[in-house]
Amino acid sequence: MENVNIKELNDRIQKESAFVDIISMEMNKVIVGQKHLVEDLLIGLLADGHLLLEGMPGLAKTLAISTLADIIDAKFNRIQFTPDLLPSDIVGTMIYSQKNEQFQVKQGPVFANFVLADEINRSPAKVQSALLEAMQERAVTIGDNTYALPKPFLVMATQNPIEQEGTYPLPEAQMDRFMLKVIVNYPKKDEEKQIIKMHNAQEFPKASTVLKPEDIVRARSVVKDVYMDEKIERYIVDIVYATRTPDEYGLGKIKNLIQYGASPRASISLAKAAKAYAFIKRRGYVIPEDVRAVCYEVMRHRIGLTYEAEAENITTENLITEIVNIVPVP
Amino acid sequence: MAFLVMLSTTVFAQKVPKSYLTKDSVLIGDQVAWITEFTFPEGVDLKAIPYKQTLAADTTLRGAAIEVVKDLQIDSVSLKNGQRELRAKMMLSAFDSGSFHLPAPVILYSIEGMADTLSIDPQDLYVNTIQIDTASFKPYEIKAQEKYPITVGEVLPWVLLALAVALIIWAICRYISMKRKNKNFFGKSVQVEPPHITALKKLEKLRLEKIWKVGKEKQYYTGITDALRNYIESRYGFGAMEKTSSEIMDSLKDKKLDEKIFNDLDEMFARADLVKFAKYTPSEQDNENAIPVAVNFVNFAYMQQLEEAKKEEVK
Repeated sequence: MENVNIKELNDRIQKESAFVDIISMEMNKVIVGQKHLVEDLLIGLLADGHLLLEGMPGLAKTLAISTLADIIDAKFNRIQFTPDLLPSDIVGTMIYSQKNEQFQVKQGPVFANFVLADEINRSPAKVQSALLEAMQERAVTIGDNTYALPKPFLVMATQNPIEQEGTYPLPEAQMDRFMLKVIVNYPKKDEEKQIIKMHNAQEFPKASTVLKPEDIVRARSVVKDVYMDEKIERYIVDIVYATRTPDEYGLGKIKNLIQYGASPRASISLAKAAKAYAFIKRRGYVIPEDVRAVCYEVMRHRIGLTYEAEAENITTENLITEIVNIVPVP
Repeated sequence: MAFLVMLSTTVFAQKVPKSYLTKDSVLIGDQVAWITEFTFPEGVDLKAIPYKQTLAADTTLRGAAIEVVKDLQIDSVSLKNGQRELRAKMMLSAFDSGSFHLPAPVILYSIEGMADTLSIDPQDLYVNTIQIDTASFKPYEIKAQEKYPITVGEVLPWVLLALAVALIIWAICRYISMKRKNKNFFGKSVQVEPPHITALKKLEKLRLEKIWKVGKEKQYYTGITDALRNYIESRYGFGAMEKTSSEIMDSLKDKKLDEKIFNDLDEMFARADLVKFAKYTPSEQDNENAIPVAVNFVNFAYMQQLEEAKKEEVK
């Protein structure tokens, strides 16, 4: 009987996930390269999580999310974070209308399906907190009323990794709220050549609208149904626990490099993201490959490094590699 | 008049002090005790004047080096019938030779508010010096510091400690050396089962148990894949236990496996993943075939290993 359920689920996912290929195709029309970024955007979208992007300027971060919004026919807003930004500039405020002689609500740019929080670390903590609270609660309170944010709601925040002066780095607890942290790299040589050609010819393909936001909401419910075996759950817990107690996994050598391990949110996010990845790969069940595929994006911002690790130029990616190479695959 | 009579009666009721030097003649630097014994009724206050003061006040000695080693002290010896027997003692020494007339020590007493000095006789002390015959005198060499021989008790703990450390180092070295030669500590050969035999034994056990027939397909396929992963790890030297099925197959791509064996193995791993992670129930035929596929792979990989070893020998 259970066997039939999985078969049914597989068939359902085969049917429901067909749009993933269409989205990828449309995205690839506009964005050259950055396949990893596109895939992570889809994972975030399907797993109901938010993304923190780190990369140099000009790597098609804004273009990627705005194209995704175009494909889904969703509302997209971009907020440029600056030191003088106020929380009300993001969530909205009450404005006195002389015509009606009463206060009326002016909703902020956060009321959109896709929000790009550009250079989130340029604004002080109170502004960051306003956005992060909206991300967590998926609702905003203005005056006496609480307003639900539209569905789907995806925030993609960017950080510039090189400029540190005049920035307000996100606290660890706030970083934990992002499901994925994606490092955006430069395009390959061939890809960059293709970008130049496109600009020289002034040919900028447009993505077609092929989906409605409701389709994404429906797909999310299917992603939740993707089967995750107990062995996979144990594998996820082992990976997360290895960041907290490396000794227990024969990783005593990295013990002094980890200041704090990943939180339970990491386990939840790893499970959700692995399910979304399985869905993208058009499978109705999660296999260890899915966990490994999203492991770096989910965990890299959730592990604290010690001064010793920083002095030796050891990154969280190095530690995750050590962990996945030692934790037995079920 | 009556008072004077009473006072003189009281004073003269005491015995005459007995005072003497323990030796009347000493060598230069030697010590001599001056003891004075006397009796007083109980309750009489006594005070001894330090002999150093007495010596300093004396004009007859004229700076002779009489040293007070231990100054005058009065002690009670006994108490009988209300009379105290007392003893005053001091130690003297001299660093000048000659004959010295030592002044009497001063002991004050007071009875019923009247104070007086105890009458003690002065003493004569003769201080001799050592006569050196300067014609025959020959000074001795200064003796070097005595060197005592080292005892066995002192050395034994260190010798034992050194032996123990040497023994431990030797035991560790021997253990490592024997381990490398596949021998135990005492040099006997240890039979290490070759990895292909271990894998084949496990697979044969799974084949005979047929646990898939009682609905334990998950355990069945987990057993097969674990046996294969352990074998691959030993045979090819990469951590197959920490790799996913597709990663293992990727790593085996360049191992020159027979195409059919590779494809069958790939299919079997994929099916095992379905059983393990997707509640898939394979057909009876698939279950029966899983073990031969695994055995074929192990046999092929072992034969390949033997051929490689032969080629190495020829080289």
